[in-house]
Amino acid sequence: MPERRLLFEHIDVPGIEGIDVYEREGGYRSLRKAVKEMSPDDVVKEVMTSNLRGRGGAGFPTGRKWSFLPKDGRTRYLVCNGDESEPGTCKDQEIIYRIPHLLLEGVLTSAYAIEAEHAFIYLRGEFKGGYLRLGRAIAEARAKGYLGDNVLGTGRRLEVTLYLGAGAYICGEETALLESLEGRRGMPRLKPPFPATSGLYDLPTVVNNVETLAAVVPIVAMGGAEYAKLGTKESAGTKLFSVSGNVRRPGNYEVELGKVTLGELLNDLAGGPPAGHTFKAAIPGGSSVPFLPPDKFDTPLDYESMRQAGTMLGSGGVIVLDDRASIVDTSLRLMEFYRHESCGKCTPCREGTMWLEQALRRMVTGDGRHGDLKTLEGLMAHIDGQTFCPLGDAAIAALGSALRLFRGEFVSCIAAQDHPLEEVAQ
Amino acid sequence: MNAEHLEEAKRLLTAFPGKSSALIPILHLVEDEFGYIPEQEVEVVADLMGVTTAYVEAVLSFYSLFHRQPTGKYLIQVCRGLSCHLCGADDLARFLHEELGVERGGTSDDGLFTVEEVECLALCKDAPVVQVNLEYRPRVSKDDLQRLIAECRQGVAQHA
Amino acid sequence: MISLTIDGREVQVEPGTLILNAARQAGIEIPVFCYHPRLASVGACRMCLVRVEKMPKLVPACTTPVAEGMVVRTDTDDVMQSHEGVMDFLLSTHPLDCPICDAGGECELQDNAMRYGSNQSRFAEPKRHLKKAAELGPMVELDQERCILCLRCIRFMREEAGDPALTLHERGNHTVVDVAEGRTFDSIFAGNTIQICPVGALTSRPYRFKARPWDLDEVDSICPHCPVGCHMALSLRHGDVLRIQSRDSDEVNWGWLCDRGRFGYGFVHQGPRLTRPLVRRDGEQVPVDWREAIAVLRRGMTGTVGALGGGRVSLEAQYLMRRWLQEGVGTAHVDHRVQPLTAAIPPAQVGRIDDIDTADLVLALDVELLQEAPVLGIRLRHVARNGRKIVSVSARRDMLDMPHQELATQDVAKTLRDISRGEGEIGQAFLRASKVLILWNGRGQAISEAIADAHRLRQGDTYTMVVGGLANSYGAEAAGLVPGPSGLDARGMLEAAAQGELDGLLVVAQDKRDFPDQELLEAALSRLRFLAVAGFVPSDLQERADVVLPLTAWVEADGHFVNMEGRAQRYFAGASRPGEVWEDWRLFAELLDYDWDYDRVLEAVRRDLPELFAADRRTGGPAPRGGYVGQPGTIVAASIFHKGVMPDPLVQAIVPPPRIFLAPDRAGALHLAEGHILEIGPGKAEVGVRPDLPRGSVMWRIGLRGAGRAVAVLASESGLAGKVK
Ligand SMILES: Cc1cc2nc3c(=O)[nH]c(=O)nc-3n(C[C@H](O)[C@H](O)[C@H](O)COP(=O)(O)O)c2cc1C
Ligand code: SF4
Ligand code: FES
Repeated sequence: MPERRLLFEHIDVPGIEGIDVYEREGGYRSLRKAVKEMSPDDVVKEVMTSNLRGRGGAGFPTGRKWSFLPKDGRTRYLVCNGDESEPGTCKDQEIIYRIPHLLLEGVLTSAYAIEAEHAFIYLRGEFKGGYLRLGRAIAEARAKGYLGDNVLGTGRRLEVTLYLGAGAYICGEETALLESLEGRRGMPRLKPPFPATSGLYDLPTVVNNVETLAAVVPIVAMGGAEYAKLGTKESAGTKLFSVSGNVRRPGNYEVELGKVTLGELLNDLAGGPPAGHTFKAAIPGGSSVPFLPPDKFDTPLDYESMRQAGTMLGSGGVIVLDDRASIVDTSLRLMEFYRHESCGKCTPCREGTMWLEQALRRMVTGDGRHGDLKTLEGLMAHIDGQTFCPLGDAAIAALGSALRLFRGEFVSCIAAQDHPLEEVAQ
Repeated sequence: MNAEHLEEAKRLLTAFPGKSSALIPILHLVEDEFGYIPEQEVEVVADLMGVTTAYVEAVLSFYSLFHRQPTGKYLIQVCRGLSCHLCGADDLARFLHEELGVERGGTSDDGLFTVEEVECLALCKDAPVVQVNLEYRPRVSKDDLQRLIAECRQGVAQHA
Repeated sequence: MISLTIDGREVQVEPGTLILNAARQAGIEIPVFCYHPRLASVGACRMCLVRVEKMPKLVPACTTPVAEGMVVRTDTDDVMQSHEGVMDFLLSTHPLDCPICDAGGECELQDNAMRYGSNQSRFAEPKRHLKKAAELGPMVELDQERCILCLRCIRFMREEAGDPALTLHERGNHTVVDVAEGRTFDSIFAGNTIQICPVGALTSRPYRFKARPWDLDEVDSICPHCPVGCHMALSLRHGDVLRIQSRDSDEVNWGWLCDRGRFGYGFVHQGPRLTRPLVRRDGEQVPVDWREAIAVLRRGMTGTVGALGGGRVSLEAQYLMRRWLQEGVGTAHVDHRVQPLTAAIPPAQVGRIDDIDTADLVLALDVELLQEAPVLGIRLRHVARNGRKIVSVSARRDMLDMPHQELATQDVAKTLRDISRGEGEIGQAFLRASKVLILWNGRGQAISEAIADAHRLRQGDTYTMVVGGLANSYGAEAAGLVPGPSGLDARGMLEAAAQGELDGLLVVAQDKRDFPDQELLEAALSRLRFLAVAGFVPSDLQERADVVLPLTAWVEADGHFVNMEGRAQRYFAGASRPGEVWEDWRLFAELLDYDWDYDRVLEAVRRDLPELFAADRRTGGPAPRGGYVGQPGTIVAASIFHKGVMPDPLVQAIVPPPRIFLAPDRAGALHLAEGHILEIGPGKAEVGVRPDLPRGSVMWRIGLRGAGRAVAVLASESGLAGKVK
């Protein structure tokens, strides 16, 4: 099952992080085409036609999101979400570090499309190296007239500002990101108003993921209609999948949506499980989605199929576990993460993740109690759909599915600690 | 802050459409210079920004990359994200703790190393991953770490 | 109007109403923690989730506005479970120290737990250990373990008080509320956070362990400290005021008080009080009965006499006082304006506090809001936030603490005239604005006239409020405690006395510190034949009196204060009276030989001063002339944060040390610099140099004792030697 490389087409070309090589490989043609030959609306139309959906996790149609901007003459901003903190996801990182000009071109082209003169690229604080690389890329592009006060002689102004976060997963959530970008604690904002009407500095703002904006480059180059032919009707185009965990060839793989199954990705592209082991389960969309057991590995990788299979495509961060991994231990590790990253604003997420973590830790460290499964389920029911932002739901997605799919493991974990098996199972 | 950083901080005050945005970049400057955010610098930053020290503390304490206590010359961050966890991150952390005689988040007696376990660094394909002063090292083994420690120690010896 | 149904009931509400309030209007209670009617909703605690038909998830009633045809249920199983969940979560970390918690009995967590919690918390993990009994500041104590992170305190400080002194620290389940490292919570609005904290996390240090709420009597009252007239409630036990809380009022103070108001009651029970009438005999003040004291007063107030003060007593007392002076004594020398004040009633259309909400231009003339009418600042901050314009017109800078424009001028009256003629950007805004509100500190005849002209020049809504003066200065003026046509004003009376041309003087509820010209006061006191002092607390003025008449403090009697918008506001007796004090009005009723009870007095006041009780109180009077401004070249600023006539052990902690400010040239001439200390007798004042003061001038705050003396010494200049440190 081959990869289909649009974003990664030139990623292995030596020196592609520099502008000369990038240009030689056809770089900045889309931006040139957009600003010279197309109106901003033309570009939006191409993106609409392409059926591109946001690659940050929620899969919201990008063209539609852009169309929500009010036409009231206020300054607009484009914000590129380079927070990439979803466990198991490392695709944006590779774009940023290895082919920074692709991102920059995507950002500039998209800013032009939505008529924003100023774009921000928000990077998670740990991407200091990426920050420096993008900084160099911006300087190079400025020298060549791709941004600045007179983009490619068109008289248009496009500015890009880099912003380095400081360590907080929640800042990937778009409104928390905006808070952070305004120099505050990264706590999500109340919606409405949505960023499209009142975002950065209270002005209309579009927030898009790194991969989403990078995809605008091939869309403009090939035309939206061509792009839409890739993938499936609802899940168009190519998508990057990060494969990690217990697998032989972890890495980022770009495939057409819906044309490859999870199993094909894991076995054919990523080399299958380590020698002598078998896959036990995978989380296909970053740690915030439910587990899939191996008997569902034949599900095609697209938004709809994944949903039907009881999980989500999410960010495309595929974490795979082999038969050595303990589900209870994995659940604990994930809950520690969410507990650590909960911003603390709302009660169910703040207190619920802590409570869940403590209960899971007891199980793992040999102090599981009779009734603990009920407690876990009760706690999840009190979080489910009741938190301020989606982090709460994200925190329980994997655990909820683990309890359904691998209940026996939880039961025996507690029973091993001197409790009668049947009672615990209740 | 040293003169150069102060200069940069002042530039940052007007580098964004809203002044408030300068706070986090300025705190990065402080963290870079001192390896943490010393108390007196909180005041300097608050004055620069025209906000209360409580406000500065509120912001900086939200973010895990800002430290309130001094850190070693080398900040070693062991990723314990699920992917790295599955690939043996725990062993690496334990190894570092023992080798350097530090607790979680602690700093070695010689002031050279601080070892932190951190959440997913978005380098999962290269698990297990360690960052040293925010520079990442893919697929590290204990041997790699041993070498790294030696290099760091030597680096200091050379500087001396 | 929008129609919706809540739990099957048809409800009609204004568009934009939150589901929560629509339900309340229909008598359906939805539990909340983070919601507070005076704060912007955050939707953080998740206690108020309800089911709305066609919505996939439960929605927060505190952030979701109603929509036409909406079908809301607050009583479904999933809603109940959600309540239980939030209660479980909150109680999981909350300590079980209710029996010793000051909030016990009025704790929203406790109340909601009874109604909405499950019977038993399933939390079997260890609880967290955080700061307990931390003294954040002079008034406020914090128990982080009890905090439920509703963010009310933080939102109040940030959004309403404009001072993020309290913030969140750390993240997630480590999040705590705190002040900055090594700082104290010294905002003058700090006390509000105690009242809005739904649990016992922020508690009052003065009130600590004093009482349980069910033992308390509540009595409605009005704040006696500044002309805003905040609505407050006294909590009393056995006639003792144990605490004061804000009463919510749309018109006046919303839900807030400043700490002067909230904690400024200590003088009533704790301070020394005047409890018995005193008469001077052979140089000694000796206790006498009221009958005798009245007789001495009557005798003393013959010949050429005058009366000063009255801005701190009830409208009822002011009314009878004026009548007695006019009808009984027959003098026109009367003035309530002992503190610097030209007029408490502006010479034109009187503004109302709620005009702040709708004015699109607010001109503040020499107004230092945080010092003279703090709570208004909270309201004015909303003007700034809503993009309407506030301009401070003054020589001095930083007069207001919310975003505003500054128009620096040495001559406020002239600048106001320029503005009213449409000069400059602000002049244009002045003419264009659909509604203009002028705030004025009430000082300066020229400004008063310029205001009158501004009103004439502008078409449309233009209003003025005087934010200076005392709690009942407006009442005093309305009741007629200003010099008659041939009468002397306050300064005139003192000058006459100093010349030996005044025989007797009655001073009502004023302290020496109230007088801006200490030298003149001294000169006057030394020549007076007869001094009568009526008031509630002993003072250095009362020590000089020939007769002393002890009156009730405001919590001990019924009465009205008339606030800066001309609103007569009723306060009620609650506290028991010490010794033989009389109601302030009764003194004058007695002098008039009226055998009246309170109702009878009130009836007369209402009959003779109906405009103070009318719904539309918009007409101002002609500005009285004169007043009392201190020596030339001094700017006497007023502040309610001082230790004057209502000294207060609690408020001491938030009263700043005395400072006097000099214009740079004046400081230079005197060889004084920032930080120098002037030691004058027992008093001390620190020197500050302010470039924004007019050339040659000195500024000080009334009530700060050392400062007044320092100014007196500066005036003589020669006396400075050896007094500077
Ligand atoms: C808890 C949380 C974390 C998120 N983290 C990220 C992230 O790291 N990167 C990202 O692009 N989107 C993240 N998102 C999604 C963003 O809120 C937003 O939907 C996205 O940036 C929109 O871009 P897209 O439409 O291009 O996908 C996160 C959302 C949530 C609720
Ligand atoms: S201290 Fe009180 S008001 Fe402040 S967040 Fe905690 S519970 Fe709420
Ligand atoms: S009261 Fe609605 S979320 Fe707190």
